[in-house]
Amino acid sequence: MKKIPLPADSKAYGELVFREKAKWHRRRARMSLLRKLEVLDRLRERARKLAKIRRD
Amino acid sequence: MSFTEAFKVLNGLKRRKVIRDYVVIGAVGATNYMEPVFTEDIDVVVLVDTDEEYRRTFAAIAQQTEAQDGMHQVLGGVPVQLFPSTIMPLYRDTLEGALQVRFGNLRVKFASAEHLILLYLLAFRERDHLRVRSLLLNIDEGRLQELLDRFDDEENTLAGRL
Repeated sequence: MKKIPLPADSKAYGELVFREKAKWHRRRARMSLLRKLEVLDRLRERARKLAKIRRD
Repeated sequence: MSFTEAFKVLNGLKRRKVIRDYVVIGAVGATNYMEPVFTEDIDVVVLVDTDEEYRRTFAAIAQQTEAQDGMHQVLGGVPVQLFPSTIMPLYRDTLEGALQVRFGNLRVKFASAEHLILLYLLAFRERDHLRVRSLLLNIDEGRLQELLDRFDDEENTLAGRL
């Protein structure tokens, strides 16, 4: 496929990215509760590390 | 130290009859219906009928928890805030209208999306707007209307916040 450089204001990339991003968010909302709780565990752990970095 | 551990401890308290029943509300409750939302704690409503039962129950819970962190009891390494169902009728209704959710080998009662919306409309902090928007995508509108009819004030404050 011929590669055409996109202009700076191209919608081709933006539209694709936002469409895929919306799909990703919908997938995350449909995850099992167990996996969602694991995500919360990771977020909580990360927040604790960030708090420690801020204190140091 | 995990949210799942905390639910194991809560279920253990229920099994040993330290608490009669409980329902998950707040960000963890909302996570059942939407993308995981960052939170440090678990909010639950605990079933009690009187202030005396509240004092007795909470004293018994405090004896069995790992630590206390302000208003939170630390269960499974996670701070858990326990609200008595006597605080307001909506809490009691949230418990009665809860959904039993199964994850792993646990069964836990989670607030319905419609009840969570009402609780968020009551608190109405900035982050609550976003959560209400997400929760509104998958609800029974008739059920939400019925709850608003029962729990909104005469000025329809909660409905006005939608």
